[in-house]
Amino acid sequence: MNRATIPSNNRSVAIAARSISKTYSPSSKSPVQALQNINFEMLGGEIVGLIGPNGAGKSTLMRILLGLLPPDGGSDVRIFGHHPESIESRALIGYQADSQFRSKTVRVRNFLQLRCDLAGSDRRETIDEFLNSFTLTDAASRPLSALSKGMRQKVELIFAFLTFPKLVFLDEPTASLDPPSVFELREFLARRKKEGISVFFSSHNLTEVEQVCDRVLFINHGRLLADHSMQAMKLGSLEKLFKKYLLETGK
Amino acid sequence: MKSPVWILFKAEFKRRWGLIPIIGIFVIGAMAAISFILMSIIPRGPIDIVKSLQFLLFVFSVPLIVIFFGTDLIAADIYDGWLRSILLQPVKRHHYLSARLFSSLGFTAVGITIAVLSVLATIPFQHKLYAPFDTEEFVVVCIGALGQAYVYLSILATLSCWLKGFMNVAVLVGWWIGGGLLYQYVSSKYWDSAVLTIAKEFIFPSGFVDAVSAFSVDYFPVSEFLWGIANATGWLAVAYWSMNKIQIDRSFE
Repeated sequence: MNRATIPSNNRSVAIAARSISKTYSPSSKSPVQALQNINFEMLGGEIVGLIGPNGAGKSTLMRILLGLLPPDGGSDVRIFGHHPESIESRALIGYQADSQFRSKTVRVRNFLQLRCDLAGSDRRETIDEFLNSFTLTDAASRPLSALSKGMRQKVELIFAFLTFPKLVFLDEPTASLDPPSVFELREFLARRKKEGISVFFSSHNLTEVEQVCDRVLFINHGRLLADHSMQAMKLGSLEKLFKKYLLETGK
Repeated sequence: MKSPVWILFKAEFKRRWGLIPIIGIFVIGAMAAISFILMSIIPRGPIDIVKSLQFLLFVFSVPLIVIFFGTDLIAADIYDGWLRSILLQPVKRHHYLSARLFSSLGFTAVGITIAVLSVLATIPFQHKLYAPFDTEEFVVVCIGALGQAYVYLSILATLSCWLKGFMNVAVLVGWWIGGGLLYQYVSSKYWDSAVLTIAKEFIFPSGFVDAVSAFSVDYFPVSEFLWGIANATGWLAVAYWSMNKIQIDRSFE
């Protein structure tokens, strides 16, 4: 494995994943091994991309890191040293979901205000700033169900970053965005990185991963096959690497 | 910093309160008023308003209101992603469940109030002979109705952790009918069994119903009310246990 070397002086470990395995239906006749012995660390301030084909185990890994799914016994996940299901961990993270929540009664501003209230953050002006930077000011009083998929994705992105968490998980952040919004998001992520926010995101868009990430994790058949630093790679080489690993793993 | 339960409680009210709940509550209130008028038509001496309210609330209004606000109580939030959004904040599962249950109880309290007021509003127009209004009994009936609604909501919350959509209500109704029939059958054979008395409370909790039924000027049903509180506490514990056991994120499935 080409393990990326990242200086760890004075940088806290945002994610520490040790021996993560996950088996679905372990007591059934045909258990499904979704993850096998995944080990990696992510330092504070890094942007790390998670790539792999469909069914590789990306979503399972993301759910375990978020504390939404318990891993098998013997696995250990820490978010800034805390258990992922703990209140301490939840206070430090943001998560951009896949924009499926589309309530008819919850309005954009109320949804974002709830995030601020629960985080104990009294930054009403911040909501306006975020809405403005994602060109959603006019949609602030509209219910979530009245938004397009792309607009809902932007709301979820604001929801993730709103309280300036130390670590943000993004799940296909550009899947429903138009090209101008994708460019804006890249710049937005670059600014957040300068502020020291760590970002862990899964994506199928290799160009996006190349342009945004410091490191990339390649996963297939539930195994972590590669952990590459993007600094050492030439632009466009990620696609070749992706194909190489697919060939090696038979998919 | 404000309590997460209070923040979520307010958010629940904003999220759930709308035209449909308002219409629903007023329709149930109107149905209670019409039922009271129909009950008053049959000549059977002076009408006891509190006893009529007791019958209407426990047999009709409370079950309807609870079904209205308790259907898909938790499962809807699991499947539309709301629960995941909330529980990825610095919020514990019991914060969410408490806010969800108390907000539903709040809606139910509004529904009960509207039903009671609707019934009382018909009195000046009926020109019937009424029995003296017992305020103490009236308060006991209202508190008992709210307590029983809380027990129902706790059961519905528990069932909704595991069952999707209308199924929590369907199971509760089936359980109520089956449990009642079973109790009647068994009690006819083992009517003096102490075990059966306790089992009945387990099979279908009715402490608050029994307390209101047993209340009179000379007797305050302390033990029945305590049974009701035990029902509510026990089912709340089961609801919390269920909430802590369930898989909250089904978005990938």
